[in-house]
Amino acid sequence: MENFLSLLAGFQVALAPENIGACLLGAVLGLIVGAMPGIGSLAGCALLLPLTYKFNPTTAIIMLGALYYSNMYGGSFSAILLNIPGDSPAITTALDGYPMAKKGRPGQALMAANMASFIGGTIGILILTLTASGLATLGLKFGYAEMTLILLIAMTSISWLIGENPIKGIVITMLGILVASIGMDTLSGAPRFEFGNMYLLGGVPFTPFIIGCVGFAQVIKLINEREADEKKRANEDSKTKLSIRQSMLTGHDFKRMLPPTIRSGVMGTFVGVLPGSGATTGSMVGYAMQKKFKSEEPMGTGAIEGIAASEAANNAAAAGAFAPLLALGIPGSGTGAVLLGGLMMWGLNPGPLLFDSNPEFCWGLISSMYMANVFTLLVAILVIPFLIKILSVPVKYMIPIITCVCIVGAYSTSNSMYGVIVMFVSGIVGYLLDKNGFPTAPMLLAFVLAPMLEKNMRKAFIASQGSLKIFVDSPLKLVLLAVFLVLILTPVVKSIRRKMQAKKAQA
Amino acid sequence: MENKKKGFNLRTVIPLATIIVSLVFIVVGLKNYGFWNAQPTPGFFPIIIAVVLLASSIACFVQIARDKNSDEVKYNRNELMVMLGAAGIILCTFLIGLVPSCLIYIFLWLKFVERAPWKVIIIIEIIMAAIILGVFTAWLQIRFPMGLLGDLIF
Repeated sequence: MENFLSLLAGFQVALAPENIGACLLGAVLGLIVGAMPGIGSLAGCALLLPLTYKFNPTTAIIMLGALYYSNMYGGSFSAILLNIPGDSPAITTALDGYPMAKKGRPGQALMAANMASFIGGTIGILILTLTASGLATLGLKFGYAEMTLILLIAMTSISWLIGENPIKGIVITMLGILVASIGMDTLSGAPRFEFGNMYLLGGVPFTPFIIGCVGFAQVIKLINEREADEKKRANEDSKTKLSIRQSMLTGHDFKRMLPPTIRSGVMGTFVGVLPGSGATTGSMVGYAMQKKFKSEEPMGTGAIEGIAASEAANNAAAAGAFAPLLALGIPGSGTGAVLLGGLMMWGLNPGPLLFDSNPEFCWGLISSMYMANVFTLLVAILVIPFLIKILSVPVKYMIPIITCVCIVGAYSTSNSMYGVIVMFVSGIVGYLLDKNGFPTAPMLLAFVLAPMLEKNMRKAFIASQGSLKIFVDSPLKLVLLAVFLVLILTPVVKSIRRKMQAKKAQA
Repeated sequence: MENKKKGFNLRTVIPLATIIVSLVFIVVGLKNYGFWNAQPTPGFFPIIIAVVLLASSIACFVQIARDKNSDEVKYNRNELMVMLGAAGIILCTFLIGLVPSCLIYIFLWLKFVERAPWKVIIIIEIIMAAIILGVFTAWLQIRFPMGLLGDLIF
């Protein structure tokens, strides 16, 4: 009951005209950027982050939340119409969305994706409303040692989950932490690892770093997709026309998609809450789960159940990921890390105290997600007739446009060419890492989490006068430590077992 | 292919680079910031992380060096062109300012790399000018650098 009263108060904040405008703007921009093949929610949020600087923190983060949310919707558009997922969570949407479009029902496939996203997202936000403050209350009981262990778990799980190679995951996570340690010491404020460079005294600026690692690195990769994109477009029926009326779902369609939408919505939320999982894992688990249930058409051949399961799960996971982000200050994904960085830039420190110190902000943000969900659904439906035009921008024309947006965005967030140079260098590094199979998302997550981890770890050691016992002196800490060890050791054990099995097979 | 003959795997470049980075952080950290002085010092956390990075980078290097089955990483000229294009904008910014550099870059890229028709070039130039000047300059009040030439004129 208390949560719902707080939510009502949150709606008072969210329904302020400037917040409604920011939410709507975020929904429109996020949808367009998310629909562009190859950009995705992470790059989309990073590229659009500078636009939020004009607003006050609450309005800015409401816009960012709407951007993030609508990016998830947008990712399915190109997956359904072009078989090019706009984002990794939309990969599973393409498996049934594109075949359904090929069967002559592209409008219905888009509408099914929109409706499933809306219902899944609503389930996710409802669960977030019920659990976030409880999680924050639990978080208040955590001391420095518990927070250190939780942050270690968050970092460990993301590095395992994103990459296929655990060692590369560790390398990239550690690199992100070291980059974050450049500048000032988190406790004493003394200069550290600035190597005599006055620009480095302020550390590596967050937004240019993110824009480079994600946005500019993506542009460099996009150039290789030009030809494939051209070929794919040549094979598409360019005269396809969509209208809202033609896209309406029948009662039978709705009946088919409702059970998988609800199932995947609930499951996706819980996947999203887990540190390190996020929307991609959510959509994959949702789709895999749907395979175990009966579908009217076989999955992978244009089954509406497949689209519903995938989209509901990824939007629910996107909403669920806000629970650990707001309550514990732990982002569940790379995009969550961008949002966390955005919050920190406005002087807000997500964590257990945020619900006490800034309740109007927390509840304003949660209530704005309901609003963003409705706005995004409306915009997503209204935009259907224009989708073919939006998606007809070839990749080759997007390359110079995104390059300039990266440069202008990096300059505008730092007001100096230093920001542009950081963006450029981190873009090249991000591209080289990606090319060599090192996933960059764990680096971003580590970059954002490192100051918190260092502060908590050092304070824990100061409190215990250097004794390691502080990490094992309660059952909760032992459980957290066990989870951390399991996460570290599981991939190693799996790898050893795989090798042994391969040897046996050879023998 | 040539790299394979010489026995040098390009994939090992990243772990080699991270080994160097970790060593720099360990040495500079120990020398300048210390590790422990009754309590953790500013070097404490980065040094631990750098040691883990060193160990994992060595493991990664060995893993890649032993793996004879994976293909070499292939880089192509187009990727370099994107990087050079961005570097060109940065350099030209110091001379003619950021906004003209971006607009000239878009024109050159679309005309000579993509061979786009004039209509497309004009539309994209207008949209980008509107975004940069309308959103960033007018709305967000960003003062973009004018470059040497701009400073001389204005």
